[in-house]
Amino acid sequence: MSNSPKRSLIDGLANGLGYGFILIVVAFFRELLGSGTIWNYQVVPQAFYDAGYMNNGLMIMPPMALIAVGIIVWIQRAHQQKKEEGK
Amino acid sequence: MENIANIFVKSVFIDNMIFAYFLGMCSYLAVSKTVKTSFGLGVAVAFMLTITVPINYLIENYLLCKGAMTWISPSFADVDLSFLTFIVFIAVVASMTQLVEMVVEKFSPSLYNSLGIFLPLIAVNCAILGGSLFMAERSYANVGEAAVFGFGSGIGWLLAIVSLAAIREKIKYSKIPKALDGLGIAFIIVGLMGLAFMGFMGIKL
Repeated sequence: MSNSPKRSLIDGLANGLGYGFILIVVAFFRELLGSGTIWNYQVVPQAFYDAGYMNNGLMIMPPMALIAVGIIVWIQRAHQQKKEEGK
Repeated sequence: MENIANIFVKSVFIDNMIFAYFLGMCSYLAVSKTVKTSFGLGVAVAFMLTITVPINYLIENYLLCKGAMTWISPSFADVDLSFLTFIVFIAVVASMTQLVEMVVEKFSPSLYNSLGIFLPLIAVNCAILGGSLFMAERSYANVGEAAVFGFGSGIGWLLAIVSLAAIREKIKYSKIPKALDGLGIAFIIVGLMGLAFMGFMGIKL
């Protein structure tokens, strides 16, 4: 065992926070695109719907969460690569 | 007999562990790099589900449910141990995992090495505990039906991981943006496969 309880606590806490952060990012986009709301408040104005905008029903379906996570992985890795090349 | 076949088809395709409930996702994404190792893990998970679901069925119906222990003595009719369900299910799954791990280590060291940490992780694989909990929720009529459900769920998981591994082996030869290669494209493939499997939803057997 190379880490003290204090360091382990920080490690566990930070892992949980990272998980929660990704969860919120995915939920934000799925709710915004899927139902046009955020935290149950309507954010897409009625004028958009009148002009022919429609909610993307596909985003509500569970498999779209995986695709959203895949895109997050893509963005993160691209960012990481750019950082490493810059060094 | 017809009922058994229905339960099997339903648990393989309609209630597929991966694509309908997204259970057991961690080892599913991590081990599905080659068909060989993923087949090994799939067989291990299918075996675990086939064994643990009927064992947990017997434990639940003859020890834990309210009034389940009347077969020992009629005075136990009021005993309700169902608050122990989770602990007992997890203990059964973990001890069976230990058994499987020892067998795999003995008979197939190469598979044991390639699975690495994901073999002991079967002990807390959500697909396996999920199988037992779905079994408790759906209240199957007898232990045979529970066993068929466990076996079918395992076969569904095996099918899912082998098909993903086959796609990932082929996709090595395609030109993918470097950042998307590997984990990112795997997530997107699983999402598309999940969308395809949603076509089974709503089929009533």
